[in-house]
Amino acid sequence: MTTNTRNNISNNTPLWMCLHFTKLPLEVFLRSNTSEENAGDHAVVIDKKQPVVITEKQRVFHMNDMAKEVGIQIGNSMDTTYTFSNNVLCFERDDDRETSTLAHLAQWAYQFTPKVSIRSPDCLLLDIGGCLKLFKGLNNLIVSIEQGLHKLGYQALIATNTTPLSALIIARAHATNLIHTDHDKLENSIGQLSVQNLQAEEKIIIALKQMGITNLHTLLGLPAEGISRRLGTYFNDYLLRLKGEKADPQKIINPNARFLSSINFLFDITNLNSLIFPIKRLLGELSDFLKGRQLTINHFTWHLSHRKSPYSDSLHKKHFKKTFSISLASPINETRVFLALTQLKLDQINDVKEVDSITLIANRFYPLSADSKSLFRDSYTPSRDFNEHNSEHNDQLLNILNAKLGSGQYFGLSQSDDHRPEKAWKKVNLSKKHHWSPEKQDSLLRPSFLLTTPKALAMSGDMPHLAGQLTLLKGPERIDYGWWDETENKPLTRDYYIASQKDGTLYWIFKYITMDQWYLHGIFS
Amino acid sequence: MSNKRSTLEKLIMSNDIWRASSINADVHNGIPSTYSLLDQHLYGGGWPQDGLTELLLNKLGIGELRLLTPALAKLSQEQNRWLLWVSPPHIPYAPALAKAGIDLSKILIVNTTSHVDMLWVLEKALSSKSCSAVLAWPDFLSAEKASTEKKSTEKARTKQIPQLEKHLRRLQIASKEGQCLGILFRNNSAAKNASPAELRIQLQAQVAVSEHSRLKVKVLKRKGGWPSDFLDIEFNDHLNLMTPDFSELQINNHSDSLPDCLSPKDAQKNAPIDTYSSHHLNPHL
Repeated sequence: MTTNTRNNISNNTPLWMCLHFTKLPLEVFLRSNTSEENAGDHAVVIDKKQPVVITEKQRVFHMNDMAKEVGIQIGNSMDTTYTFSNNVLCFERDDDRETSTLAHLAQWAYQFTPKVSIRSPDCLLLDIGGCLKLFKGLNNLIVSIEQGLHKLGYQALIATNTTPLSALIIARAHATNLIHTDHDKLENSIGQLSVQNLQAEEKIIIALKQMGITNLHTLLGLPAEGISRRLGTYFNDYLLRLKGEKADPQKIINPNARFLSSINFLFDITNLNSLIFPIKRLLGELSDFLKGRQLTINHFTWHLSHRKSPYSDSLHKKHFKKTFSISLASPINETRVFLALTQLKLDQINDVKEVDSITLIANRFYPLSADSKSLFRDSYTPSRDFNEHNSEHNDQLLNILNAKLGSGQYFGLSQSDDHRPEKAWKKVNLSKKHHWSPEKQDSLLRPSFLLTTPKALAMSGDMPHLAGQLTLLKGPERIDYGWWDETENKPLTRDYYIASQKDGTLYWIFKYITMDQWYLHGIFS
Repeated sequence: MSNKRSTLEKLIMSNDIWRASSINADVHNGIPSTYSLLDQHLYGGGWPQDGLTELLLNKLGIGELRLLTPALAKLSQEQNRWLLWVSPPHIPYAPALAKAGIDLSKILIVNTTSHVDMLWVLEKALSSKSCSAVLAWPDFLSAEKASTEKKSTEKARTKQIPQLEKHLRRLQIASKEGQCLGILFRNNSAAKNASPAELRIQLQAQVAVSEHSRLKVKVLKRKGGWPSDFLDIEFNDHLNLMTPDFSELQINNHSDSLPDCLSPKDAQKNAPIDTYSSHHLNPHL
């Protein structure tokens, strides 16, 4: 198969791809540990030489290469298995997990084509006829799918053909060298396959063999009427769909409304820093998910859990869970930012001793608003120009502040429509896109710093004292205090003065008209 | 080859390379402080656009912000970046800032609970390219109650951030990287120590002689020039304008048995002429 012929398929031809996850029963358990070359010494990596088997009903159902090497066979009992090797790692097959993983992979594949169909237990069918141009040819598409799966920690056999069923049987027959190119030669491409590979009832296969028909080439050459009469209309119908002579509608998945992905670890992770690699992987998945759907997020949640933590009290004995969320100032899709913020949060966690599973959840999405940048902007704007298009940067600062300090620690300022000094300003929550009230300009002199609570001043005689006598400069400015505000039960009127110290320092002080006590309320910095 | 060129270009573009050919271009790139006497003594005719600027003072309230507000107002209006206040000693008062022309929507205030956090925020913010100016009061931390009293000022002085000096270089580099004006309000006692800051100015309170408040400043360290003597800065405000003392006037008026409702001006008009000496006489009367 040459590159040229692979890439020359015209866009009009229907083309189906089958992803066959041959190692799925294993991978649902081992995912956190496979293909993690870059993990270095941080991640807990299973010794690649350790045999791993998956059992179903006490019999070996699936195993890894190492198990095969030591001589374990499918169908062996556990006792037999342990005679071959005493460090065999054994898992009970988890059907539910396989099904949900396959569904998850189908969602992942949605980034390549909208037409993805699940074929249980271990196959996905993708209609790739329409997306070849986008990925610049079949070769590139296959490479990007393979790389993507590798990053996720899965392996798949990839087969393509013009009908879904033909792609499926090629993949299931592990005959991926039979990648199809030309519609007319469908019979040729799958002709060599044995009838055994057909998805038909056992008795039909036996009947075919008794007729002397062993490969598909001969079978597909037979007249349809005869097959229909001898082997039943269902089988005939199947062959027609296999050949593409009859429409074969597939059940297409719906894109998920939320993102949820988790990684389970075989061993407890005690050092939170080693979570970075699984976190990177999950964030990569999230990024692909968002990219495929042209979405952005401004909030996502991490769950760290441990099945039974000895440190937790009896109430939460069964399951220990630590949840933390990351909020962003504006919806984006940038793995780099997500990772940096997650790391900031992770650094603050100190009450987690062990983790055996990590989950990433994102629920609310926002459409990607692609603001096209001016083509010639760079040519005339100097590098020091911060006049516009800077909101992205500005939001990033808010993001890191939020992740490090929490949202209560930073705020914006706004004026508010009240004449009382304490209420003439207000904090603005910057994570909500707030509208600042129109700025009024009045001629009143106000200090640039306001004390949160007025401070009683020492007195010498009638006059206030602050490290020396204060001289009253300007005043009084009489301010009525909220007798109309029920919460404030101090219907007192204040006289405000600007006062100066001997050296020229200026303060804003007041006294209640009914009392002689002076208070410091502001500083003219 | 192209690689080499790009590294060379990068080098030229970077902020810390000064080229003789740009001597004229650089001269007017400061942010004008609007006080011409001060501008004359600053490199580039104003506050530096990036790097640390240290303002050294003994206590708050002497006009340290008034000195800065025109520049801050200009930054807030011209750039779509934050004006970040890191742990200000008191509440920055919105009406006053708005009156000084600062765009309030650019103001971001961060309160930190520890020195470590404050330094972290400072460094992140300075280098983030998302702030036009970052203001911090490292020596006036948690001085909410203390800063105004002399006794406690000394207490606040001893509360200086341990080894702030060690972090200054990092902050200076960060602010260069983020093209951000970093302003540290520090205690006068820091003047004797060396600092990597771009500009260091000592501030001293001064008694006003007219209605405008005043401040004495002394440039301790600057780029491309020598330290200055103390300069007299007069602010364009009317903070020092004393209101006439009504109570005294009233007493006088009372003795002249004038109606209580009259304002001093009216009182002047209606006062019997013979109570004024001749040079007070209005020719138009």
